[in-house]
Amino acid sequence: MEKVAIIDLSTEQVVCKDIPDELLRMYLGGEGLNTYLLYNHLAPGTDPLSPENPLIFGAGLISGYDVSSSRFEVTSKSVEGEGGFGTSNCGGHWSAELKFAGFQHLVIKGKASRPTYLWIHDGEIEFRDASFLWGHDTYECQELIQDDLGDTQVKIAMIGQAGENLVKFANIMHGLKRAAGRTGMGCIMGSKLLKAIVVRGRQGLKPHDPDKLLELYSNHYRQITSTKIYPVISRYGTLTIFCVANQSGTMSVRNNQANYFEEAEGHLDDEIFEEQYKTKTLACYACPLRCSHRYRINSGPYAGVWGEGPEFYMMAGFGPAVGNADWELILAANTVINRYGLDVGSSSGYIAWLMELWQRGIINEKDTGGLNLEWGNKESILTLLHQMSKNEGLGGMIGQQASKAVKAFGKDAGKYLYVQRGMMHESPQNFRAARATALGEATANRGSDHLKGRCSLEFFGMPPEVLEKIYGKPIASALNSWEGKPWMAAWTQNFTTIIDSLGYCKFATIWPGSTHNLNYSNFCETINAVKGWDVTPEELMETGERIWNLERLFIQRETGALREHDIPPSIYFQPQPLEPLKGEKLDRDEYDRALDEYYEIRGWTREGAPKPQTLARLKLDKEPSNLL
Amino acid sequence: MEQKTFFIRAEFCTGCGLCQLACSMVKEKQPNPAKSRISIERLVMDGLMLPHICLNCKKPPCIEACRRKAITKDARTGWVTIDKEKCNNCTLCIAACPFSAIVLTPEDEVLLCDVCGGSPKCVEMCPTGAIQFASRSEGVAGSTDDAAVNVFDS
Repeated sequence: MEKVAIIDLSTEQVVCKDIPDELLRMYLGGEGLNTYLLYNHLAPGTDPLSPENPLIFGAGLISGYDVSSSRFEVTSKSVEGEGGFGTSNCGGHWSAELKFAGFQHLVIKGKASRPTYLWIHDGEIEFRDASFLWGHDTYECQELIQDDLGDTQVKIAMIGQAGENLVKFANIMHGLKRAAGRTGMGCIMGSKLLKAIVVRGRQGLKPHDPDKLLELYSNHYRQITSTKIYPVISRYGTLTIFCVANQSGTMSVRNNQANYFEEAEGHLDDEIFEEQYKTKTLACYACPLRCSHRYRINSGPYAGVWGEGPEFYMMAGFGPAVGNADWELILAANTVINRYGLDVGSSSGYIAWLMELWQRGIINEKDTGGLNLEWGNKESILTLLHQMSKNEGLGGMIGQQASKAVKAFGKDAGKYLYVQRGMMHESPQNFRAARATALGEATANRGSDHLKGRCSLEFFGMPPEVLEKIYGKPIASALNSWEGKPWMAAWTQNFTTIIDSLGYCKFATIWPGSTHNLNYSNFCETINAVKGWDVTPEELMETGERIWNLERLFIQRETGALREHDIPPSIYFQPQPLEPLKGEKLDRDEYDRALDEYYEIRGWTREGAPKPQTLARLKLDKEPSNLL
Repeated sequence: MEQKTFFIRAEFCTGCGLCQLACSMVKEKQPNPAKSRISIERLVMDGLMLPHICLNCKKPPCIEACRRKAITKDARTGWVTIDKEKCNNCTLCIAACPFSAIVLTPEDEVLLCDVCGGSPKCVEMCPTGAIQFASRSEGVAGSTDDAAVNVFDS
């Protein structure tokens, strides 16, 4: 039986509950059950930073059981943006370890009376003093915890100084680079004076049919390692996307002023990283994809800097988006944000915005406290990161205010701030030419979210027969056609929601673009071997839809902002200036028609609210049902 | 006959633990790294992942340490195995093993790799070749013949 622990930091009490099988099948785990727990445990209208806002951790349902099943979800009411749905998914070794320790979900309530860390081991949960950890970055924190517990094999999810100082886009970090970013989950953890959750599990999992599971496990391993994407992703990780994105004209350059960054040619690419900086390849739990890289800079101004990562979004966010073509600055910034626990998308996005304000003369040295914010100014970029984390100066103001910082600079400043649902648009890429992806990201529940809305298969110009086979409906091959794209967006959102509820890595599935990777039928095989159920792909698709709709209900209840917030940032409606894809933009009327079609597919009203019959069909009409 | 054993190339180990998952599923019918016959010591800050598994030493110190003669080395195959009927989980073998290759479960049971009868599942599941099963005289990085020969002689 899967378990949830309700942990009250104020009283230091823990209540453990078994998750009823029926509820488990309806919401699986990870994002799905987290959303159910949030909807039921959060009193409507609660302030995100109040002790009453629960911070919910959830391992995926099959996390620990299968290949590439390393992921957990953190969910809470968002503190970044408009205070809506906050959630984030993270890989590493923490998720499986939590399952081995006997828990699938943790609901953390209240606020500790002193800095605290949780020590969870084999069914036990202890509250331990974290005063000696407070003020330390995530690298130092891990070593101190290992010493405190006398165990080097513990798995740690923690915050750095950014979370402690309530930066609105603070992450929860795990290891040296794994992060639950966006929507400020680290800020909420900091508001509870919770520094870390340390896990060690030595209990076995009990699959319904172990022989079948072993067979599936071998099959899935062979399936994942025989795709065309495998040799690339296992060598370069997501860095391999950079050159493709830049040369196809979908890069955000200087806060979206251009869509191709010429300076990157010969300076920023995955091969240079591998040859000059990479020192080691590492992997998440049970994952053959091994997309994590250690690096070290041996000479120059950043000599001695080391760390893990970086991902494509780091490379693009601290590269073209801020007008920088120096790999070493990107690596130095990567180490800084991971040690502090800052979100890469938001921090780079706000820096890019400030630099455009500087370029346009909207802000000057008086506003920046003396910082020179010319494009690519390395010293200023790093200074802003330090300021954000420590809540000092201009960076500190941005970190505390996030999108509300626009008020400080007058009305013209808002024209260049590309936010949606109050969330910084993930700066590095710009998908206005890709219709399904533009719609999928803009309608994603946490706002501007490529991890839910990116329809990767849209970019490959696949034959309509192949697309129809996958999506079950006719979809246009052309990137900039709207035909079938609202369906593609909704399908992808449901699919990624299922992946995040099961605990799989998206890169082991068809999501990033390899049609031979794991799909619904493979998920069903594993679920049925693990739980002894008879789940079908159709049931899973409906489960994804159910979770998506419950998230939408949450947004409706907490913010009331529906249709008017499902619109991409203003830059999407302006033509791209450079080849390739020069002149591409979204047309507002076309977009509105696509949104109507999307709502119809979803069974929502024209305003974007789930209809009563949709809720009844998805068994959501009795929420909150308080079953857990 | 040609004898085969494990070769570890730690520089290639990514710490994923697919080997542990495979081993515990084959031997214990459950995903449980704590009951896998192969273990990985993860030194996260150093980025160092160290797989530990029985290397089937020429003169295994564990055999000399065992008072119940529960551990034997097959003269033909060279494989070192433990007879759980004779073993009383005293852990002297664990103390004697220079490679941290013998596992103690949370229930204090001693576990030793049996090479899956010659086709170890962990090797099949290793995506980087960090653990290989090869002829002990040729190997992948030199012979293992001197692995633990002199532990008690020196």
